[in-house]
Amino acid sequence: MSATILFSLTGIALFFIGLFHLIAREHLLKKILAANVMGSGVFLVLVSLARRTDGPYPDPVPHALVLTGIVVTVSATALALTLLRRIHKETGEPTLSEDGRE
Amino acid sequence: MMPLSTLFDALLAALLVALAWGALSSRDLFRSIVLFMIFGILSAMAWARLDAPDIALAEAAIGAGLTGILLLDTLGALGERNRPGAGPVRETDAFAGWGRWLTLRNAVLGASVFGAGVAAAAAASGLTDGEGLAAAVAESIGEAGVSNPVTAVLLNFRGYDTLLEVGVMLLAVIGVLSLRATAKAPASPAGPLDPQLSAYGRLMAPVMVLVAGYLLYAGAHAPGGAFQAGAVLGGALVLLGLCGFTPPGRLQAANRGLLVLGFCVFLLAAVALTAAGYSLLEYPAGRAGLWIFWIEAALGLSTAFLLAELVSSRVPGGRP
Repeated sequence: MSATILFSLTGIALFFIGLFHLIAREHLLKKILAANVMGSGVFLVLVSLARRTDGPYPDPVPHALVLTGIVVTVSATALALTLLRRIHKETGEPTLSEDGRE
Repeated sequence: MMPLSTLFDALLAALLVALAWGALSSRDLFRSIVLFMIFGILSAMAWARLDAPDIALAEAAIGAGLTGILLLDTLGALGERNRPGAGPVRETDAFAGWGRWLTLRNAVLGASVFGAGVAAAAAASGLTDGEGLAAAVAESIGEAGVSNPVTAVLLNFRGYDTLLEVGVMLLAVIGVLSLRATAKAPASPAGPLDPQLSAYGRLMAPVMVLVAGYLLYAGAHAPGGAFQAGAVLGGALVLLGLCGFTPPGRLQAANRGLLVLGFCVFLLAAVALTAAGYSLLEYPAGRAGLWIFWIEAALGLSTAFLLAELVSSRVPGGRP
């Protein structure tokens, strides 16, 4: 199995692991982590597909896209974490559950 | 017998999946974050294995480093770890109260596995060797002004993507700053400074500044560039903050200016070039290298201060 296929499949697995936990976990910090894992999965698929070129060098366009993606991800994560802090400060709970159950 | 590199790749892929699962299903949030940081470092290795050194540099500095600091900082602010008698944070399951949690949980799990299977089958059957845009980039690289193809795509061929990316980063920082406005940051570190950390900071900060400068300069022809340089410089700023270094008042006023510097320089360049009759972010022939260098310098500096601004408290948080 070539590294391209191996890492694309890993990326797909990571995406769905993240998606599952994004739904299944209640703690917002876990949801943010899960979204990050989903993002890593997408990046992995993009970069492994970039290797399918005839020449010795991979396609630089997906690389640039992923580089942009990493910077945007950390910005979005920081904003999400700040919102989480605010929610925790206002409600005392690090979750979005409406009935206030533990 | 499998070649050693294939074995290494398989091990790396298995570790990535295991770490992601472990980080997301652990009941202890501190352990989750540490596993996630290790996941980030191993991702950087995967990027290196996939011939993407530019991304590996960015991932190591941003994905594993800064994101980890942000997460630990937030965990410290939530104070769950420090609650007396609370022990490890109990992670409740979103479906726990639904009574039929077993079936619902399994439905979501099943849907995820099914989706992953479909996507994997599609990827495996549709994977043919394609040209991609590598040939098109290689054809025009001569007039791009830089010889590193990733930098050429980021700053020249698709410069508007990067312009908007800096805009997104700036918006995120504005959002963070306005949300944080009510919560006052402690004026001084909450205790005597750790002399070891302080000495480490003094030792490392100049080295990190040097590395950032090199990455910025090397980005034109080798792996590196504005964002990697900015991430390393931002790391140096965060480290100095952790060591209790508070910038003098004059520098604090300049801080806000540095946050918008990169976006403004990039935007002004775009406007000036458009006004001069070029299309959006098309550089004058033969001068592209110079334009890109100055835009990258401003972007790198801004990225550093933007990333450092995202890390709120300048005192060690997280684990007690």
